[in-house]
Amino acid sequence: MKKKSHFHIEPKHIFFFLTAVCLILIIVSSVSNSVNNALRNGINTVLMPMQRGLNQVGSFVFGEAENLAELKRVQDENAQLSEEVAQLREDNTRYQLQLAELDKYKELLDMKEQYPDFETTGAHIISKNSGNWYRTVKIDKGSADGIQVSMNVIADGGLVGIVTSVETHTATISTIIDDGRSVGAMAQLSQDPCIVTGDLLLYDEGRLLLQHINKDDDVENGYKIVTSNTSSEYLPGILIGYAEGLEIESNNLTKSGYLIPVVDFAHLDSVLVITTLKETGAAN
Amino acid sequence: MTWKRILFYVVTIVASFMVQNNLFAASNLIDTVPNLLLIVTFTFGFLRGKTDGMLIGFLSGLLLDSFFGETLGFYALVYMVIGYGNGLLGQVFYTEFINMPVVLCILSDFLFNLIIYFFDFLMRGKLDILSYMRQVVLPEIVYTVLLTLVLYKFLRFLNTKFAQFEKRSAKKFV
Repeated sequence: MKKKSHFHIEPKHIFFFLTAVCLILIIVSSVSNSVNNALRNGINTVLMPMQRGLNQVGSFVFGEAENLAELKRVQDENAQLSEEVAQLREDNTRYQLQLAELDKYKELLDMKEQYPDFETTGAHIISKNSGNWYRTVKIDKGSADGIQVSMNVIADGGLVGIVTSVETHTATISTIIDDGRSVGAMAQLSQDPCIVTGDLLLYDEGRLLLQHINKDDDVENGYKIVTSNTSSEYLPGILIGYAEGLEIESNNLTKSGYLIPVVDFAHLDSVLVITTLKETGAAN
Repeated sequence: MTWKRILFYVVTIVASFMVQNNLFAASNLIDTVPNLLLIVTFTFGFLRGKTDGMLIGFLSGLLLDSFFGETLGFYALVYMVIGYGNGLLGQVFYTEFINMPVVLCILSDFLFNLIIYFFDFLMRGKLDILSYMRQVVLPEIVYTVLLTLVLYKFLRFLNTKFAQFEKRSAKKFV
C-alpha cells in the first residue's frame, strides 16, 4: 500500500530546532527588514479581507450596545452644540477676515507658509494589537495607496501616531500612547519646546508624560501642546493635547507634568494619514 | 502528525487570532483583551502533548509577530515555550482534574507577561514591576481565566471530535 509517512522525531529535537529558527528570525529581522517584510506582506494580504469584515462585525456589536447608552447623552449634547456652532460660525467669519489680512502681511514680508494644509487620506482601523502591553493598530491602506513609513496619522483634529511599517494593502501605526514613544513638541503660543512620551501605566488615567521644559519657559497648565518645528519625524503644528499638572522638578532647572491628548483613543475606528512627509533636508 | 491535523491547527489559530485582534479589540484600543491564542496554545499543549503544543505556539506567535512585532520570532519563541511547557505538564497531571485549565491559564499567562515585561519594559529601565502586575498583568489574567472557563470545554470537544474524524479517515485509507 501507501508508504507510511508516520516517522517519529523526539519532541525535544523539534523544540531545539524551532528555538533556533526563532533566534535566527529575531537576529535576521533586527538586522534587515527584507525577510520581515516578505513574510508580513504575504500573511497580511491573505488575512486582510477577512479582518476587515470581522472588525466591522465587532465594531457593530460593541458599537450598538454603546450607541443605545449614548443616545440620551448625545441628544443633550446636540442641543448644546447647536448653540455653540452658531457662535463659532460667527467667530469663524471674523477669523477668516483676519486670516486674509494676515496672508496679505505675510506676502508683504515674503514669509514661507509654516503650516501648510497637509494632504491626507482616510483609512479604517482593521485590527488592534491585542497584547495588553502595546498600543499599535493596523489600517486598511498600504504602500499600494501611497502610505509610507513615518507618515503622521491624525484623527479628531489631533495626533494619533506614526506609521511604523507598511505592507501592500495594510500599514501599522504606533500610537503616541504606546509606551516609550516620544514626540518632539512645543507649546502652541510660546513655541517653547517639550517632549511628549507615552507611558502604559499613566495612560490608564488618560495621560501622557510631558517633560523637558525649561523652568522659565512659558508653558502652563491648559496650554495647547502641538508637534514641534524641530521634530525629525512629525510635521509641525499638529495638536497633541493640553498640558496639565506641571511642576518644577527637583533639579530646579526643568519642569514636567502630564498631557491630556485630544484624540479619544478608546473610540478610534478611522484615521487620516498625512501623505506629506516631513522634510528633513536629507534626500530620501 | 498528519497534514489534516496541521490544517486543523492553522484554521483554529487564524480564527482565534481574528477573534482576538479584530472582534475583541474592535471598538477599543485601551480595554484589556483576553489572550485567546494563549488559551489555544496551552489547551492543545496540555491535551495533545509537547509537539502539538509547541507547533501551535510557534504558529500563533509567528502570526502575531508578522502582524505587530518589530522583531520577527520573539512571540513565536515565547508561545512555543509555553506550548511545550504545557505539554510537559500534561504528562504529569490528569486531564480531568477539575481546576486544571484555570491553573494552566494562570501559569501560562503569568509567564507570558513576565517574559514581555522582562525583555521589553525592564530593559528600558521601567522598574515598577508591581504597578505593571496590577494594571496590566492581573486584568489580563482575570479576563483570560474567565474566557478559559467558557472555552476550554469547547476546545476539548473540538479536539476529541477531530481525533475521531482522524481515526475514521485513517481506517478508510488502510
